[in-house]
Amino acid sequence: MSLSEAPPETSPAAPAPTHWGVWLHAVLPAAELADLAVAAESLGAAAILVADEGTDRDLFVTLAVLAQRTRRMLLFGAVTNPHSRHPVASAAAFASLAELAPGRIVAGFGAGGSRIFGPLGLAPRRPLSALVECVDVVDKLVRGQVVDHAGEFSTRGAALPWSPGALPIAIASRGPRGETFAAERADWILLAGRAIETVAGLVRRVRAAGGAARGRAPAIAWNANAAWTPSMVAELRAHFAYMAVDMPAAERAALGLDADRTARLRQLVHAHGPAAAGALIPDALLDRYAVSGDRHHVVARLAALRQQVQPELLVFDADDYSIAFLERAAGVAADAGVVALGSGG
Amino acid sequence: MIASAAPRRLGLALSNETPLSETVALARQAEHFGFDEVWLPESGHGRGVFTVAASVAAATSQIKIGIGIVNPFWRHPAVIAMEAATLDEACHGRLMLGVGAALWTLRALGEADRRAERPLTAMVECIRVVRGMLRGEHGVDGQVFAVRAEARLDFPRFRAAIPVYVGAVNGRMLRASGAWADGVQLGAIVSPGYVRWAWAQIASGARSAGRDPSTLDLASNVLVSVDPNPRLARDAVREVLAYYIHRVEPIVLSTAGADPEEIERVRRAVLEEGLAAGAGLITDGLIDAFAAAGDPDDVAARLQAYARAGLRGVLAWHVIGPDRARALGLLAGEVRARVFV
Repeated sequence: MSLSEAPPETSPAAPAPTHWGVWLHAVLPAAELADLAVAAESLGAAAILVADEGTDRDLFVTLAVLAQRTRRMLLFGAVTNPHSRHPVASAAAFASLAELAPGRIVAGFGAGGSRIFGPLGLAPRRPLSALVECVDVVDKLVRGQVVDHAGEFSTRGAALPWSPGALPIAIASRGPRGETFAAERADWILLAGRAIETVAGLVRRVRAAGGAARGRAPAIAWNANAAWTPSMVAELRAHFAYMAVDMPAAERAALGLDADRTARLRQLVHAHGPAAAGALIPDALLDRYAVSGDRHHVVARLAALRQQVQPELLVFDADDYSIAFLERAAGVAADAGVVALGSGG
Repeated sequence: MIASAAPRRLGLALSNETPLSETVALARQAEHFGFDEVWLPESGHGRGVFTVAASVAAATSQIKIGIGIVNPFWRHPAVIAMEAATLDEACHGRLMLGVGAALWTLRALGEADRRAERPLTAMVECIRVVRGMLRGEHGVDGQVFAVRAEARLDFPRFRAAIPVYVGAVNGRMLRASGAWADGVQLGAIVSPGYVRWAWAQIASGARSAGRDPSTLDLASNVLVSVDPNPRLARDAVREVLAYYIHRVEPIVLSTAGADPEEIERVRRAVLEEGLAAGAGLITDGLIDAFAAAGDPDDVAARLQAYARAGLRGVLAWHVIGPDRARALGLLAGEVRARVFV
C-alpha cells in the first residue's frame, strides 16, 4: 500500500497502551543525564531517546552510561545518520550497547539535517539513499549476516559475529519517499515536528503500509512538542528555528516565513544558535506544530490526540533537565491517560 | 638523542573481540593490580570502542583509559573529538585518545574511500582538527575532511587538553606525529630496535616543527607472555608472531635486528602453507627480537630493553601468558617491581 492511499480510520485490533518517554539532548555530562534517566524510569517513563546533533556530547558514550544505570526502559539513539560515522561503526556501536542492555536498545536513524551537518561541514548528495542503505546494512550486521555493499558508502565482508542479535530499528524521515521507506522498514517510527492535525492520518497510513509490507505495523514514538510553561514555549521556538530552516519552502511561506525572514533565521541559527533565532518563529508555526498552552489545555489536547493517534510512545522534550520537570511530565502524561511503565497498563 | 620525559608506565592493551563484560572485568582486574592504563582498540569489526570505553570508565576509578586507535574515515574528525571529550568527562579526565589511518584494516574491509588515498595529509588534518577541538583552539579548514577551522565542541571540556596519540608505523607518519601530536602509540610486534628507530623519527619531526621532543610520549603494544615455566610462555607467542611477521610493514621487521632469512622463511610459510607452518618456524631469536616472553626474570630484562630504547608506556598485549590470570599477577608484581618502580 502506498502512503497516499487512505486506510480505514479504525483498526479491529485493540490499540496498544501509550507509554511515555523523554527526548534528551546531551547538554549535560552523561552521569547527570543518567541521573535523570533513573528518575524518569522510577516515575514510569518507558523510554529515553538521546539525540545525536551538532557537536553536542556523543550519543554512544551517553547511551552506554545510561544503559548501565537504568534497568527496564528502552534506550533510543534518536537519531544518528549515515554520514558522521560509517554505518558499520554505528552498527558496531549499537550492537555493543545491546550487550550492555539486552532487549533495551533501539537503533535510530534519520537522513540528517542542518543541525547535524552544519557543524560537521557535511553536505550529503543523496541523503535518503544513504539512509536506506544504512538501515539495510546495519540491520543485516546486527543480525549476524556478512555484508558486501557498494553505494553511498562501501564495505566488504563486514560482519559482527559477536552481535547479540537483531535490534529494533527506529527511523525518523520526512517526505513521501522517506515516510514510505520508514513505514515499510522501521520497527519504530519517530515523529517529531509534525503538523499536529496531520499526525493521526499519517500514523494510519504508515501502520497500514507497514502491515502490507511486513505483516506488522511499526510502533509510533510521537513527540507532540508539548509545552505548558513559558520556558518550554521559548525552548520550542528555538527548536523550531532549526526545523524551519530544513522545512520545504512552500510550507515555510504558508506559515509566514518568507525568503527574507528565512535567510535571517538561517543566519542567526548558524551564527548565534537557535535560541537567538527563536524570536523569528511566527506563532502560526507554533500553533501548527506544537501542543502548547496552559497545563489544563495541554492535558486535554494530549488526551484527545492520544485517542486519535494511539502512539505506543508519547515523547516529551526535556525542558530544564531537572527531576522536577520529569515529575511534571509524568503528571501531565498520567492526566492525559498515558500509562506509566510498571503500572500494569 | 633527547628522551621523552613522560613517566614510565605499565599498561594492558585489550581486545575488542571479547564480550564487553569480559573486557570490563579485565580492566577492573588491571586497576586492582595497579596497572597504570588500559588501551582499547577498534580493530576490524569488533565492538564499538567508545561504548566499551564508557563501560570501562563506569567500572573503574583510577586507571587511565587509552583509545588505540580510531580512524577519521569511519568517523568524522569532529565526531572523534565529540566522542573523546564526552568520554573524558565520563571518566573524569582519564582518557588518552589515539587516532590513526588504520589503512590495512580499511583496505581489507573495502572501506577505504577517496579520503584515504592521501593518508598522511588526512591524518595531519585529523590530528589538527581533533587536537584543536579538544583544546578549544582554532583548528584548520579541511581539505580532506569537510571541517571548518572554527569548529567547536558545544559543551565545556572536562580539562584543558586531552592528549592525542597517533597510531603510526612508517617514518613520514612518525615525523608528522612528532610535529603535531602529543604522543605515538606503536602497534603490533614492535622490537626495541624499532622503538629506537621510531623515537628518532618522532624526535626529528618534533624538532623540525620547533617542538621539544621531551614533551612527547611514546607508548606501544608489546607482545608479552610471562609464566613461571619459560618454555610455556615462549611457546604461547609463536602463532601470534608468525601471523604478524607475515602482516606488518617491512620497517617493523628490518629495524628489529632479527635474522632476515628467518623472517623471510616465516613469511613465506604463512603465505603458502598457513599459520601453523609459520609458527613452526619461529625461532628463539625471533621471539627475543619481537616479544617479551619467558619467566618473570626474562620478561623484566626484556622490558628493560624496550625502556632503554625509549619506550615510556609498555602496553602488555595479546598473549600476556598461557595462564592469563597468573600472568597478570606476575606482571603486576615481580615484573613491575623490577622495571617500573
